[in-house]
Amino acid sequence: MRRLLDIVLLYKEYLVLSLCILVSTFLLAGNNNTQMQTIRSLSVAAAGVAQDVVGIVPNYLDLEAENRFLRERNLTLSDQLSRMREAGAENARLREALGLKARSTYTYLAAQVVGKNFQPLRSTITLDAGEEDGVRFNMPIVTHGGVVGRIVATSAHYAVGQTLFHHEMRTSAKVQRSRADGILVWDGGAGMKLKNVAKTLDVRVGDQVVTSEYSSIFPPGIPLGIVTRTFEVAGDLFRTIEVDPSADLYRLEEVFVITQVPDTSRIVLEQRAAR
Amino acid sequence: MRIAAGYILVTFLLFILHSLVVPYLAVVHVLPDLLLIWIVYIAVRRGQLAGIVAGFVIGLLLDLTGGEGEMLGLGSLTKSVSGFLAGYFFNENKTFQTLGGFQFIISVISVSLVHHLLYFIIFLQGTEIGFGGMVLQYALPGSLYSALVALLPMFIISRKHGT
Repeated sequence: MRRLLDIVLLYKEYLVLSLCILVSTFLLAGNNNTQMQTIRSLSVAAAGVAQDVVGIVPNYLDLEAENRFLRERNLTLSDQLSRMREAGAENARLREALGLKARSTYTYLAAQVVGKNFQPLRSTITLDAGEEDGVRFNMPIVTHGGVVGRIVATSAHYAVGQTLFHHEMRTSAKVQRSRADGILVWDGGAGMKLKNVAKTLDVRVGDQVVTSEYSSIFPPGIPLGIVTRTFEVAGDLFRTIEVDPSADLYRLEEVFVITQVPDTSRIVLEQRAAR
Repeated sequence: MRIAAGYILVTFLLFILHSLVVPYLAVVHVLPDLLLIWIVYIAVRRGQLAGIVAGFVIGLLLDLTGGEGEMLGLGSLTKSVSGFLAGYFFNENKTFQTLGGFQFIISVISVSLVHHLLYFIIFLQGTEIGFGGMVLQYALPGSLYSALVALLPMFIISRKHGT
């Protein structure tokens, strides 16, 4: 204590001067004129530079807590980003689907694909729309890209659809450009074949294949696929035509059921005539 | 106590002179700083600590009575620093030799220059007024004028104490 007093007495002039400068600075800071505003801005700039320099030295005590916080925040943000991307993609799909509805005169029922079954030779999808929504057996299933398949089973709130990649799927088709008729079937792989097209008919790579008016299930003019290859086999009457489906059957999330009941009287008549 | 009262009285008188008479002594807007001369005197006569306190008090009084446009705290800052610097000329054994000699004039000039420089550094912030121009126009002439006025007390002390 005595030593402290000795130091104070030894440097009393400097201490008093410092005190006077401190008080004066405090009084100056209370001014709000141009000079003090400029000095304040200079002080802020100087403080910013000093903080940048001091900030280089890491504060290890806070680093662990900061790391933990940042990891949690990163996880939350990643999840949010993923959800937003998902919402964005869904938005894009639904916008395209809306375009389909706007162009078409058919009545569409939107449905979500809630289940998929890719068993060999039996590709089916489960929809969250059923009889209570107006879904019936044999109703067509489409997307904005084109035909997906048809309804093969229904319950009150769900329906099962058979996609184009099903061994039982056969549909009347037409090459849109040349009006050549054929039967579209699954080739067992990732594509389809347009069968029963005579070699004399004009079919080229890139031609669009659509549903024909001969189909008792699908309305005419709905895209089925694009011709990717066409060739002739010696001794065969018909041309071999390979078709890629227009609808992306591996990424089905939202689909539309065309709520058009096929004309059963026509089916019955054709069956009777075939006997 | 009597000495302190004497200093207070003289400070008061000089304050009145500074406010009422000194403006009439202006030469091309340059004024002598009577109160600064008094602060230097106190510091040389009584030491650095007295000079600091005197400078602070007088500077604060000047700020408070300066009216609009004056920066409260500027005068107390500059004059307390002036009192501190003037205290370096304090010599307990040669007080009256210093006060009665040209050392006093030199101390007034140097302290006045530092006072003006410090004042303008703060006062001119945010203004378009050139610092160099202010130094040449006010700081140097003002310091010289103050030194000229300080010759009077210097001669009086010199005659009184035979220095």
